[in-house]
Amino acid sequence: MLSFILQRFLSLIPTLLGIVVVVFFMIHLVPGDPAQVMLGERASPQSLAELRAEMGLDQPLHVQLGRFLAGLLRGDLGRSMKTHEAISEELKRRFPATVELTLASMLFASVFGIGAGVLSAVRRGSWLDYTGMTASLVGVSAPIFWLGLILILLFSTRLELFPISGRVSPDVFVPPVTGLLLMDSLLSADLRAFGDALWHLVLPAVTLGTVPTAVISRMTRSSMLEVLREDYVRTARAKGLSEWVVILKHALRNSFIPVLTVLSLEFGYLLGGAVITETIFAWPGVGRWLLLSVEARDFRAVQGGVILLSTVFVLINLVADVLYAWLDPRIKYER
Amino acid sequence: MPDRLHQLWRRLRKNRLAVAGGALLALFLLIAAAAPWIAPRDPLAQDLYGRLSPPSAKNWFGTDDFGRDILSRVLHGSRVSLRVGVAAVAIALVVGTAVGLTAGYWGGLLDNVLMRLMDLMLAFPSILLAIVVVAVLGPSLNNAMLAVGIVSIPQYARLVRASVLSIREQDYVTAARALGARDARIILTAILPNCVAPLTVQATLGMAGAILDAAGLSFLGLGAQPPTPEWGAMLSGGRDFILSAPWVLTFPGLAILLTVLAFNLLGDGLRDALDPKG
Repeated sequence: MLSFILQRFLSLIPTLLGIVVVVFFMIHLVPGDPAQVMLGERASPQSLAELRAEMGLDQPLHVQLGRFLAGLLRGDLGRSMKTHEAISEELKRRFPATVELTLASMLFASVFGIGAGVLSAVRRGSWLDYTGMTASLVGVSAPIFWLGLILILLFSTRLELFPISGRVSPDVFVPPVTGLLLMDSLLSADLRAFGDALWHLVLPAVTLGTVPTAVISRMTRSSMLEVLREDYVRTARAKGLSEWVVILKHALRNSFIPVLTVLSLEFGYLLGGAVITETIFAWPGVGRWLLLSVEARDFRAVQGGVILLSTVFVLINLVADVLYAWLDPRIKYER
Repeated sequence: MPDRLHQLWRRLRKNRLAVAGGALLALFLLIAAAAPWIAPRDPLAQDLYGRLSPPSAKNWFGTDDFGRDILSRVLHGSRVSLRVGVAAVAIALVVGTAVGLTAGYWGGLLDNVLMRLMDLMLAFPSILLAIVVVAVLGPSLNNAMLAVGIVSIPQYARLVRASVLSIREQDYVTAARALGARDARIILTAILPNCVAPLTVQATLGMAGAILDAAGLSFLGLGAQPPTPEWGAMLSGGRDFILSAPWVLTFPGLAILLTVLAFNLLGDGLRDALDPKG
């Protein structure tokens, strides 16, 4: 097992390198001179040349790539062309907001998706199954940018149940430790702040989590249906175990592997969807910042943000792979 | 083949959800084809005295902030979405099939290189990759189409490669080769026909995804630009009036939802009909 984890870790290196190289070259395909963008139209040729030399833009592309990679190893992603701040710092400030949002969405999607999938499978053919599966089909088809706006319209402006945007109310201050507001407010034992942060999190998390909920429930249902037909489920029932023990312990656990695959893939969806969701709810995370950087044509920032989010996605897939091996003793990773 | 098609049709007809999807899709195609004739007004015509008026007998879906008739814009938007969906899927389908065929049929180093490249593309969250492509090429509807097409290439490539690998070693392919058939002939007559079924399912579901993603890009300001009557862009423009004029948001969103739902229902139905075991 340990050697498998190690091996899987090593296989990360070419993938991550590939991601960096692809993003680097795509960003450097952009026509236009970053130095000109930073200094503006009326910059003198001399100051332009100086800035180019300082940023290494006068070097051939492969040298620039080498420098970029060397910087990356030190956690240096360069400076934003717009704010001139270190991109790693900007990302560090915003990343926790995105993590909190995606984790909350995933929690929502897992609980409701797996719950609905199990219920649908167990009550196959009932109105419950029918409703659940119709809802999930609609959920997969719903544009989340629209869904988010409709939720705001209904729950924020009409019913005034949830705030329209942001992570906390302006009068709430949470001393930053992890950057995850829910955790930090608990650490400082501030229940009011915790409640406030949670209250702000609900609509964005539901919006972002809708499509994964639908996908997970469909996968759970079909996977459960397959497992429920197995002999060992019948044996478990014959032993006189209660139906819910059979369902939760015998069936759900064994139908979990395909569900886990979907879960890890849906994380990719969440990280991408965060751009849209954060934009709608003015959520101060990496996704919204990425879009603002695209609009400002700040390609260094775009490069840094995309590399960060893609790396997270790759790491999550690795964790999922390790979990398979742990969940299913039949899977052997020896080569 | 006609026999199999007939059988497919029979199976599909029994699936109520697929029939609903097909009907919805037919309606969508009809609207897209007839938009200029059935739209009550010019989708670009402004009426600054009639800004943001609620749904009424004159404007069934109300008007937007430029006084444009939302019904007419939604109807015309179907053409944009259809074009985006078809173009993006065509790009992904053609390139993906070529990659998958090459990798699966010839194998070896070429296979390795091509498939590692596909894996690399899958290592990115797809919307994110599309955003980068559009950011690099510049925001426009055509570039959004291209971006959505490019990021879906790996799905088709993997699908075709898997089919090719399972067919390549079949006796009839070996026989054809022994008879001296050239590669092109083997691919066209023996291999490609066997990829048609899974590709049809993938392309139908792919239309749903492509329309959704392209609308998302337009919503973010990276796709269709104003005043194009594109559903995602209409939503983006309507965001500021969420309090005062919710109808500006409601109808374009419903149009996206129903269109994507139609493709998903039909795609699911096709998959079940083509794979009776599943």
